Order: sequence, then C-alpha cells, then structure tokens
Amino acid sequence: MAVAIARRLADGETVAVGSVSPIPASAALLARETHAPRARLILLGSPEHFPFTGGMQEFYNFAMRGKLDVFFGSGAQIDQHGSFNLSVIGDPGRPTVRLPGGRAQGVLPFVVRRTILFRTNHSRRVFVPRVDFVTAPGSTPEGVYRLGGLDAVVSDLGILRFHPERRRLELESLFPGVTLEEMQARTGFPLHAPPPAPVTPAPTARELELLRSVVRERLVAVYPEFVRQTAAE
Amino acid sequence: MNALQAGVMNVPFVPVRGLLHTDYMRVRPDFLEMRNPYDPAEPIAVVPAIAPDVAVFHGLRGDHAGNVITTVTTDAKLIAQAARRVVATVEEVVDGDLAREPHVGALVPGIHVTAVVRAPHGAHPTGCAGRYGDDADHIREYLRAAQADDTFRAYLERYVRGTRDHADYLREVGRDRAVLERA
Repeated sequence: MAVAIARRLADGETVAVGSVSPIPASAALLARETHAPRARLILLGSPEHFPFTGGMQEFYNFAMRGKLDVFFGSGAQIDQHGSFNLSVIGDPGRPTVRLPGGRAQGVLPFVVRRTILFRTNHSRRVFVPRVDFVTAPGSTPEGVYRLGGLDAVVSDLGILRFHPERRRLELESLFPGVTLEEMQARTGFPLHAPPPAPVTPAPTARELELLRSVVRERLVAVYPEFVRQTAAE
Repeated sequence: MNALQAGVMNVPFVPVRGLLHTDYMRVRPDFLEMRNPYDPAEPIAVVPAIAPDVAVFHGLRGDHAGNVITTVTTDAKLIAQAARRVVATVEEVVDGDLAREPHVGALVPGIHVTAVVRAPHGAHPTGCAGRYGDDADHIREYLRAAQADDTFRAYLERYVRGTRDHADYLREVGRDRAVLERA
C-alpha cells in the first residue's frame, strides 16, 4: 500500500500526512527517497516534520489558501460516490461509534488538490453503497468553493480511482494476486473495471529495501508503535 | 480552528471554507450557509465563535511571569487568547524570563496566562514531544475501560478520584520512577 501511494506523489509537491497515518507517512518518506526528492513533507504530530511556528492554526490557514497538493485520510466508510465518513457510524443522533474526523476532513478535501484515502481491511463494512454520514462529499455542486477533491482510495486489495465526470469510484488496478471477483465480493457496491482488470506493478526490490531501512528509521521517531508492530510481523 | 480564531477576535461568527454539502451542516443547527455579502453568487458556511471560560494546556517550561514554551505543533497560544482564564501545566518552572531568552518551541506570552502549574509528566498518558512518548499500554488500558460504564467508573476511581495529587497519580500509573530519574 505504501508503495502504491508513494507512486501517486510527484516531485516538488507539498504533501501533508495526518497524525494517525503511518502508511501514508511511509509512502511520503519513500517517495522522497525515490522519484520525489524535492517533495515537501508535513507530518502532523512530528515537530521535525512541521515547518510552521504557529501551531495547527498556521497549518490549516496554509491549507485553506490552497497550498497543499496532497492530504490523506482513512475512512470508516467510503461509498461509490466518493463520499467518506470519518465521523459517526449509525444514526448520528445515537451513533454506535464516534470518530474524530471532522476537524480535518470536513474542510481539507475542499481546498487540498488531491485527497488520497488509505484503508486496510477492504470489506463491505467499509466500502458501502452510501455512507451513514458525509464527512466529505465526493463531489459538490458548481459554485461551491472547491480547489480539489478525491484522487483515489488505496486499500490492501488495490486502487480505486475517483472519476470526476462520472462522479464515482472505479477500479484503477488490483494488487498482484488479487482477483476482481475477490475485490467485488468484499465491496458493497458494483465495481466498474476495464476488462481485463489492470494489475498494479509489484513493489520493486529497491522500494522494499528503502521501506525496510531508511523509511523505517525515519518513521520510528513519529510512529514508534507502528514500527514496533510491523517489525514483529 | 476558525471558531477559536473568531473567539480571539471577539467577533460572533466566522466564515469557513468547506463544510457545505457535508452532514455537519445537517447535525449542527448552529452551522449555517449564507451568501458571501461581497459576492452573492458564492455560498459559504459560517460557524459561531468559541470563547471558552477556561483553557488548560500543557507546556514544556513556564516562568513566574506566566510565559510558557510549548511544542510548535500545538495551538496553545490560540486557545490562550480565546479563553477568559488560562491555566498552563508545565514540565518545569524556571527562574528568569522565557520571553527574553532564545528558545526551541512556541512561546505563549505570560500576558495571556492566568496560572502556571508545575506538573512533570503532566501530558500523561499522551506524550510530550522531546521529553517522553505516549504511554501506549496505559492508553490501551483506558480504551478497554471505556468500553462499559462499570469498567470506566472503576478506572476513574483508581486513577482520578482515588489519587490524592499528581505525584500520587504518577505512582499509580507507574511513572514516578521516570520523573525521579530525570529530577
């Protein structure tokens, strides 16, 4: 997943990673080691990768002015229209789960050029026909101030890309070894895929080597728990 | 963030980018959509200002004039200006004038601060950048306890109501040694 995300980042872009996002953080660090050495990284929660002096306020104002190329999100629920939910599961009045997604994701997907969602455990529980609560809409009517939108969802099975004209998620590629049937069985809405379904190029030996060496070394300062757990696996 | 900024400016509401066509507009009756008065073609969300009665934040160092150094990633200065009364807990209280000394971190000027309280390890169970990390075991324990009312009550009884003071709390969570070693 980290490799697939890294390849979506371009050199020179300004990329910000939220505070509980070790996979995108790995991806951004990896991209800097490979094809995007001049990418500017902002890792929220890490003072070493935080180029502001005025707190999150300064970061948000920076984003509001359209200065972020890429921001990441997870998604408790993601639907076929590219809307995602990081707020509440169930009836908002009596939710079964409350999540903290609104602060960033209620505003950033409007002003950041590309939002990339990452999601482990690709399942029908996550990929639903319609989200219970729209934290961020896939598309908005004309006239609403919107500088960018959803680029893609990267899961543990493959990549779904948001098509802005058709306003829906479509299969971009399957990770090696994953079949379209398998992904469809674990997706709660019909998958639109070009036949035959494209396959994501496998991670190269160099990408894997970098992930396990320099990226891991940098990541340990920011996400000690994640590095400890992935090293144990 | 914008709402706190409005609190800082003592204005009643603030326009916010985003939010339109999200369900926040549905579940928050105080979030409203209006027309930009300077460009009526543009719809924009407005939210009411937040001006807390009391703000509490944790910093690295504080001095006797109320100046506090925090990590650069927090919004302590914003919160301190929005609130009427401001309490800063700090890892250490120092002599001298933090506002006049070179420092690493963000300065919250003492003019915004009502009280500075020495509380080593005061961010526990979360971390304090540059000093100590998150206490993942304790956060896991809290998450387990928060699953049900009775276990949560037991958690509060043991760590919050059952501890006399901050030092007692640190002993109970097994962190007193870390503090002693640094002192």
